[in-house]
Amino acid sequence: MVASKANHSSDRHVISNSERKDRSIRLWGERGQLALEKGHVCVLNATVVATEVLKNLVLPGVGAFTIVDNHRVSEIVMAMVMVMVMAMVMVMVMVMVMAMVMAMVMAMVMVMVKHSERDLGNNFFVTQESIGEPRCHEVMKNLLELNEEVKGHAVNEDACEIIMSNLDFFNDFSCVIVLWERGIPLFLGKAYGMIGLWRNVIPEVCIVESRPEYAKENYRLANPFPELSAFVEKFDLESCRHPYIPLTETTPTPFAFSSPSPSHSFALQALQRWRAEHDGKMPQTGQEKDQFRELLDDFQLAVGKDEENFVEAKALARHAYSPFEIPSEVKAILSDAKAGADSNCQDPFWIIVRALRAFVEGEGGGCLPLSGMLPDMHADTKSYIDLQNIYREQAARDCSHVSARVQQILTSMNQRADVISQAEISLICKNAANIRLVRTRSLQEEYTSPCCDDWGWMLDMPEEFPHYLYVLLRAADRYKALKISLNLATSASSSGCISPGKDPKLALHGHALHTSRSK
Amino acid sequence: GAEAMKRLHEAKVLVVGAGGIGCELLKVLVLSGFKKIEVVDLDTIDVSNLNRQFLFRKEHVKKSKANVAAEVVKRFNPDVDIIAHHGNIKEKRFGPSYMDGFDIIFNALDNLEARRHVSRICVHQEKILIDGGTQGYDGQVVTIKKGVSACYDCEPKPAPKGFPVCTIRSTPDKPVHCIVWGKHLFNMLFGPKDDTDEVVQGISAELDSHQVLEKVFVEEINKLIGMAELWESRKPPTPLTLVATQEQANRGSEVAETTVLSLEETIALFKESYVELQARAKEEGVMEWDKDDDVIMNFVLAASNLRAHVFAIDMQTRFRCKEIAGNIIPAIATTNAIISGAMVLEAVKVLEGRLGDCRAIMKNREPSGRKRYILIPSNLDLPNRACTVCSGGTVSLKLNVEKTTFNFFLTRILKQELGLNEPLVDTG
Repeated sequence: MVASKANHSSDRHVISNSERKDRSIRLWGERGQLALEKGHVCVLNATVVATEVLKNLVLPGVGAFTIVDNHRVSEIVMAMVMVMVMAMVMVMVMVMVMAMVMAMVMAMVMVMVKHSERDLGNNFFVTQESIGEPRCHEVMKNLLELNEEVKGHAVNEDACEIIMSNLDFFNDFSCVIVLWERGIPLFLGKAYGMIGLWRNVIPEVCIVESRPEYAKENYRLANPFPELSAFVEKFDLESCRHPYIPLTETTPTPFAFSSPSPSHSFALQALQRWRAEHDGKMPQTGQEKDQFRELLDDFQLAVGKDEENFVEAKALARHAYSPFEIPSEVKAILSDAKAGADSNCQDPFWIIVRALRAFVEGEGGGCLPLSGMLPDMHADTKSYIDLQNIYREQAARDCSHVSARVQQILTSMNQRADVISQAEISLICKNAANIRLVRTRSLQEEYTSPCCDDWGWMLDMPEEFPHYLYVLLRAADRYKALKISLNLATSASSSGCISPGKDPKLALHGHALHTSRSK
Repeated sequence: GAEAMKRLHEAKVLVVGAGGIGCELLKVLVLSGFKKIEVVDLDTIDVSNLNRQFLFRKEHVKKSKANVAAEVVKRFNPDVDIIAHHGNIKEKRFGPSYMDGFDIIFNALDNLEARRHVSRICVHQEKILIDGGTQGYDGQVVTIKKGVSACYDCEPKPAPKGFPVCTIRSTPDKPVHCIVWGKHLFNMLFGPKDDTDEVVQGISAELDSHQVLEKVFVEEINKLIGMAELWESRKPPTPLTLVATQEQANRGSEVAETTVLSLEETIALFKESYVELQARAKEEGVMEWDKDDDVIMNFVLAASNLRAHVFAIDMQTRFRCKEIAGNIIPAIATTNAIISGAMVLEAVKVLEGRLGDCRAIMKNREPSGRKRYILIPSNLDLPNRACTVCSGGTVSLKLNVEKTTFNFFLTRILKQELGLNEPLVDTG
């Protein structure tokens, strides 16, 4: 007999907010969740893609959304699985970008290019009763059911009319430029059958907690700080004595490293010995690096045991002999114009980055601040904790250097010292090796100054490269724009906005299906 | 085309699992025009599901996933004929003859065992199985058809990594060791009887909380310290100093998620949760470990942190402890949505008779290098000729007949290693 999850503690049915958000927080951390909850997303056109995107934003708890759409929910038409799937793939890309970007963004706008009037059967967020009702309200109502903490707004007006002075969407960038200048990211998505295009237009987004799959870590083994060197010297490799465990009669032979000393101590000592034997040089050539590894093997042989801390030490060898290189992405940020000494960018992120740069050039001796993190390793508890404290303390010292630099910069800018909190500084110091910057070209640039004049090669690329689709989509856009201006010229009764021309759409479908089948 | 659409309408499909993938899959199936759907899930809805399983609302918590999912989908599209079963797919009623009634079977499961079970039945009945799985940002879809593609057993799956018994019982050096131990302690006191949980001798839920603390964190530790050979190269533990405070259990207050409790608070929490579990055990009998049960989780948190303290290991926050104890890999709604979309695309190919066009689809976290795209199609693996499941192979075993008991053969070898559900044993 197995007991059920009965309602034992008095407050079991009260749904705690943290419980609902439990998984999201594990995914992007508390600050990420907070950023999401502060975010306000505006969606232009409540298409299938838009509702899918919103669904995946509402579920984890985006702060608010606004739907701008003036259509009414239309008749049942059989769904095309292709459109759905395409929408899904697009959603994924968009939400992923948002999750990344969320670190700092407060508001964003999405434009969904309307391509299909069929809602029911295609759009999961409208039901049969909704036919004929304003689409934005229906979609909003159903989306809000997903999460009562989210606020929704519906604007039953034509998105195009609100934001544009004329209908030639791709010729008039007034709205887009406004967003660009205000630094509000824009996500553009469209789906035609099996193909689709998603484009983020991001003036600038700074990511502090990039939460990479493999975080770059630096232990300063190649250029140890004094406290680390002192720690390592306590481990005597020659006599294989562990500093914390006295020799006793019960252990007649020097039991050496059978007690796991931290791998850092071997790697560093091995390196010091190697350098002593090679005029103070680091192992550089492949051969030398192999020799260095052999040296570690020798230590292990001397002990005669196959201990995991040796395995770890060998894994660390690379860290030991190659001086830590600042990751190229971070280098790019440090050398950005906004991080220059003469920059007067007021953004806290950039002020801290300037301090970071000054640190790297000064006290850091070419290194970024330490994160203070030490991974799990095979070691006795005392050595591990000591080593951990040594790294933590050094990280704190690094961070206080950066803070001092921040204060200097603030003073020089006649700013109050408390405009940047210590928490912000230490967060950036902790993530220094993994900060990221995302900037994209503006749409204007994309449309007015293409990367190359001749697009023919894109169509000639093998089919597994998606370049030809881009060309086709651009061509379809142009066709539409042309058709609209023709329509406008011939009839003044045009319902406005962009109605997709039948011919190019069919042609695109045909092509898309063809490619999906042949793959 | 119209022909394909008709086939979609008429196809009878089974969705196994109504969780993260299941919800999204049902949505795509319904919107794509599938009309005859059955869904099986044994689970009930938990609050932590609501951030991604979009068919479920707050008021559905604790209800059957399968039933609610069917109900909600039907509300969106009344034309769909959807039948829900609240039960374990391994039950007899979902056996081969049941599965035979479907054209396509979708696996939307999160565990190896159930997937393997469904795969075996499908192979046996020569049914087409589309198996989708996700883990964080990664995901994959494979189509399994006997004789055409590899089945779930063709490639041996690595067994989940455990820890050496002595590390757990005597010489922990990482938080995870203490947490695993804490779960054993819970099972030993309140769970189903199993010798592998015997981490401390001579205790039972008959004792009061102070006695248990005394036995587990003082006497037992002193016994361990006595085994000198264990501590030759390690730092020995320090027994817990128990101050005989009769603290008032502060019921109802929530345990902080992201701060580490103090030693005193942890001891209080241990006592409080122990007493509560003791009372529950009297009422309900044997309990099962469940990370979403607050009291059980608090007990394991307190027990593992006290042990960590004794062995000078960092104590953990509740948030982190739950993640380790529950083995939580946060799922992403978007990955689930993509994988379900891909599953339905494969299903459409199958129904159009283009089984040869089916691909194994992998989804990557970040496109880079060789994994240039987010979705990568590749040819389905061919069946492994040596596979005992789909190629009718036999397994030869060498057993020491003097030592092997029949029970060991049945439970360890047949059930655990070979994953047989109800093996038939014959002699000859």
